[in-house]
Amino acid sequence: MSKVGKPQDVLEFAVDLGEMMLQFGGEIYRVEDTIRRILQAYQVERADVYVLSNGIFVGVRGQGYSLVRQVSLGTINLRGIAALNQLSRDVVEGECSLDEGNERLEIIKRMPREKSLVLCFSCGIGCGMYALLLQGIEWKNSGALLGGSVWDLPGTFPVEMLWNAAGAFAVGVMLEMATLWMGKRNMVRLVRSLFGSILVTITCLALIGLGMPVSQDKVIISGTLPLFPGIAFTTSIRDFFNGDHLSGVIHLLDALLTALCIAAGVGIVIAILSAVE
Amino acid sequence: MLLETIATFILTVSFCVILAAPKSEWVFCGISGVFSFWANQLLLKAGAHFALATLGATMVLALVSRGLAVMRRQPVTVYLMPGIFPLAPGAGIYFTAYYLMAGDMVAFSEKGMETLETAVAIALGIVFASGLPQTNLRPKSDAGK
Repeated sequence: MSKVGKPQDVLEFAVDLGEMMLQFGGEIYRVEDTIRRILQAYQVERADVYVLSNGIFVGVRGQGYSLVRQVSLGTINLRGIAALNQLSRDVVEGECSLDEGNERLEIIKRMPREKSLVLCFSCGIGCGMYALLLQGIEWKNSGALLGGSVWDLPGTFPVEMLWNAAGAFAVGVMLEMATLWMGKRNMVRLVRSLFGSILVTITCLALIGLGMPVSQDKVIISGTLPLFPGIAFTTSIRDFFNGDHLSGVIHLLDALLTALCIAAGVGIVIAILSAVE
Repeated sequence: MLLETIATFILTVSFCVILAAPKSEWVFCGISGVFSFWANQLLLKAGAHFALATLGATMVLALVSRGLAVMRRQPVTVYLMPGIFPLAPGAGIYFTAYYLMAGDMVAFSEKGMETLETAVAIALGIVFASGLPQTNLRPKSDAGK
């Protein structure tokens, strides 16, 4: 019995966990399900759990307890989702007391992310690789890979591919730096996307201006890749599939607007520059 | 093909880093990304329309992600999210905006449609892959998700 606390504390714990999961990027149904299971594990039955992408509402029938929680935007943290998932599993299997649970939540909240340097580097690598992929398909069609052996590679490797990859790398690093900076200032995500794509375009054009032989298209496309609302989009589809229509619409709109902002960012810079020329 | 596989693997893993995926799962995320890339290439070589290839690739990604999630006892999102990035229609959006700015309405609507088709393909791919009942993949002893 010492494992079970007062209903209000249980509610608080469950919603804390749910809130964190939501901020880390968890899907609506997962958050609702997790909260429900935790409540049941601590013997709070008959709870109604309603989760939106920016709010959690829980009411316990017959006991008059309820909790409303506004959830602010967070950055995706898959490690955090996995850890929270594990925690909720432990709770459901009865291996975790309420106090322990709260302690672990604190630990998870303070879980460190990768160092900024590593993040920027990875972003650059990701964009660089994407640039390679974009061209690799064309390059392969020219028969370079099919004809020769591995040793032919250094010779047949089009230098422009490498330049493009390097350009994309540079752009990617700048983007991540900007994203981290904007994250600290808690800017709205749409604005981050807009600024991000503007920055990517400007950096790319600057590189071209400095004489780097890169293809404007490929570098900008690779550079805007991290901004992509692929996650928001797929989450919205999964929400719809689970019957969470409202959340699905919210995520879908988010995805559409983000895509629009990316396009607008690129378009604005190009339009201004062509007007100036 | 080998180079592109390696590139896709590195690409997926680098997004794992950004999305803070658990370190132990990075390799598996990379693997799911590679599988979806292979599916995409195979379908394209078989002469499929690019949207259909994207649908197939997304389905493979979703299925592999679910399988991995069960095997490794992790949430599906861990594998699904990094894997989506290679499939995103980045070129589509860029060219759509570009042609709009350039005033080339024909190309704009063409690229716009392509982008839309890719997005729908991704959506359908996920829906079809999610259609498989979760219980069939879940081991009997697993109580949570």
